[in-house]
Amino acid sequence: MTISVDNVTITFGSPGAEKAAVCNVSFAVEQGEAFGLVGESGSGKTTILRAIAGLPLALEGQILVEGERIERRRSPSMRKRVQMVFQDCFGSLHPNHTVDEILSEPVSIHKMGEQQKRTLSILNEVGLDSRYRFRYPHQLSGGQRQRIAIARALIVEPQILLLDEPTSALDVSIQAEILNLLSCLHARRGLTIIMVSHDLAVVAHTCSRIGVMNRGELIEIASRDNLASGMVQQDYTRELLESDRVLTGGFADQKIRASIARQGLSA
Amino acid sequence: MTSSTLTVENLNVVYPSDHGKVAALRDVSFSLGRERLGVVGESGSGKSTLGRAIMRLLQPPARMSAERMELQGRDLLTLPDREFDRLRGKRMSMIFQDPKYSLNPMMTVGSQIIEAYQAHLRGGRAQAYRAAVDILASVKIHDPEAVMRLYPHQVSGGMGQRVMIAMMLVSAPDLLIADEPTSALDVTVQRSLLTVLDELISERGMSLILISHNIPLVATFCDRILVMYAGRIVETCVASRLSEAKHPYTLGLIAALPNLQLRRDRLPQLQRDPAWLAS
Amino acid sequence: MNVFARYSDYSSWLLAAEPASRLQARLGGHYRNWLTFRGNTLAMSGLVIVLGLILVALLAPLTGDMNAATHQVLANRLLPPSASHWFGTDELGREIFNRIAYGARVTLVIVTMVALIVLPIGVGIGTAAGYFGGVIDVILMRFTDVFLAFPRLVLALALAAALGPGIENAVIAIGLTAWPPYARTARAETLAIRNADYVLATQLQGASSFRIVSRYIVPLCLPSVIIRLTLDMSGIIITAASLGFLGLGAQPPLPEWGAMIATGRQFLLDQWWVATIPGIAIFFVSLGFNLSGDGLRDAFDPRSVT
Repeated sequence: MTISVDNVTITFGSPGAEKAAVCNVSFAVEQGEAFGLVGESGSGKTTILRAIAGLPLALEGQILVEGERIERRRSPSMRKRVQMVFQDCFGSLHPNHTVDEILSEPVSIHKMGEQQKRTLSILNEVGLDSRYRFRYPHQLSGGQRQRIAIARALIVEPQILLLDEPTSALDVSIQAEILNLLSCLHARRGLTIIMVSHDLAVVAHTCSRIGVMNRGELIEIASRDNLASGMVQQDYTRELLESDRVLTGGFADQKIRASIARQGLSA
Repeated sequence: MTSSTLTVENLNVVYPSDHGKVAALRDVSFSLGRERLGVVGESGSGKSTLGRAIMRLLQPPARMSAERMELQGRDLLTLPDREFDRLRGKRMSMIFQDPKYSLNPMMTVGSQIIEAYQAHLRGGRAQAYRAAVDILASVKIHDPEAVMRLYPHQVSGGMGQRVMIAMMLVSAPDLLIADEPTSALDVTVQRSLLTVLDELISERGMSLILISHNIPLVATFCDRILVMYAGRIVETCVASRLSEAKHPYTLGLIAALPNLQLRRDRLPQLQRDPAWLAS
Repeated sequence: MNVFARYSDYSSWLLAAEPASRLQARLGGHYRNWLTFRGNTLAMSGLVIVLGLILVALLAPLTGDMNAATHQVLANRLLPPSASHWFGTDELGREIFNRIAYGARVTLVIVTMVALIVLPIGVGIGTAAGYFGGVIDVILMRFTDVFLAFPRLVLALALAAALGPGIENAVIAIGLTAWPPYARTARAETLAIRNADYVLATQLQGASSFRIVSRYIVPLCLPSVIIRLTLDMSGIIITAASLGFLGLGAQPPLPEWGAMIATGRQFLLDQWWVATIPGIAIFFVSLGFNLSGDGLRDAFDPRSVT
């Protein structure tokens, strides 16, 4: 599924006192690609993602999926095709619903049938044992909840997966597991992915092309290799890379290589 | 040979729970000189509990016990509450993650800093006011007098953290404990805040305990690092030599970090060894 | 020994870390709440009182049949409490003990009926107003405000007077005046929940509003509303008693506690038991509901969930 965002502007606030959260942003994502959006808070990256997800917003411009406009009223089949994983894995799961209910909900809304079979199969795919099926969210760890959120998004077999800061609330070790899971699912299901994060390293791990946003504008789109080598065009991007480097400068990749070697793991 | 600012020996913190007692801190011992000590760990490692235990901020039903806890040679364990209150804020201070929750929303920034000053140092209001303006200037706030009149909700994240740092440093403490001071901030804001903190600490010769889940940050900013796991210190090392760490947990954590320059298809996943819980 | 073994089997089944079915998970959740409630002594005493009320109501026929409660024996009027007449007799010679027991039934019917009226109306209006917002919210809340503007008892009086005397009309009157605070509570809860990610996630799937409100929002509003109801019970009982006292609720010879106080009023100085004993009964039952309401609030408090 190709996604095309054309000259999209999104405003908030009452008429007369509007603020543009997203300003004339355009980009395109190829079928099967993993595209990232980075930026600081207030950059508009989450807003544009939510617009693609289907949140009703005051939007000018158009968003196309396989040539079909989706920013207005969406058909149920389009809703099935585009699924989202939210940032706060605790807030995105209803506290009174068991894992089983959470997963069967989208299946029954889209009238897909075979709830039990699909539930067990998706739990397996995200690496959770079936014995978690009747637990409540508060009985699960952060990583497990995020797996459920991913399972819920994938149980209806979408073609496009949107991820809003999927690992920012998770510990480093759990983050690695979730990022590996996402890479695996991406490859296995041929999904088109858009991931939003403030963490450059996380986005560059999963996504091959990354858009940099600042104050509602898309500053530039760079490949992960160009970002890694610093070959970028815009000053803001340079500044972001620089801040990232300063904060972790004493911690270059040699340290990671060294620790991997010491552990006897292959990179 | 610098005398030790803080000495902790066999600190234990226990919480009762439905499943019996839970040890949040187990036999934690370390000493801190005039240096920056980073404490890293994941959630549940006890790193935040450590900061709060030192500052005597733990509430019942948490129970704290230690063989030794001294600040500049002064015993902290047997100090009565009233005297500890005087010590806390004057000789040692703490800054937290979110200024939204640590600054009193009903008072202006200026009055909070003045209150902090007058609580610990002798001096009239005029003197306190001058000190407040000075400390705000030293955290690189432009137009400190204007900021003094603002309320916390009018002050943005990065500036709010600077205000909190100012408030905590106005009494010139010897030890500062910072619990995730930059986690809620954007990367560029983090950088400027840490620069400010760096200058202040160097200028005043303070000791710093920086608690964070962000290993690269701590490795860059601190002199020494303590790695915590399940309430215990599993590794102590010099920050610049973190890659020579010995404990498999530390190595595993470092390897699991995604890195912009190092391209890998799969991130190595940490395999937790139950033996780590029993050292 | 067998009984205890069976009990601990059930207990571990309910508390299982990995429930094997929806039913087990649900019951397990309720069981955990029950355990929290059980740990609270005051709440348990409240529960004991409420259960006592139900028991007395059920066993009322043991104290003599309904006729006895209305059977006048003028020779026995105004006898003090004694071995043969446990709570004494009233001005028409009727056993007060008997009347208290049957009065318990009346009280229970009143609170149940009021709850059945108040909950659907209050929760329905509150969640609809909170979820849809905009014009619907304004209209529904102004409608609620109209009812809130009147003192409850005065409005109940007016309605009861309009509908005519009788216990059923009293219940309707109380129900129609008691729902506004529940609508407000439900609306406040809904506003907090409405923007949660789990609601958004379902909206993005294209779920109908009805589905979202009934499955996602109402279950989260229910704890506060139910707790409010138990705390309100005492008020409801007293309002019913007041209506009875004023002659607009239960009509003689129905043994409603409030009506008993009304008629016993004139004998208060010399034959205190006629009015006081029903008063004590009202007091205890109100206290029971209050205490259990407090306990329920603690049991449902998400912060106490481990």
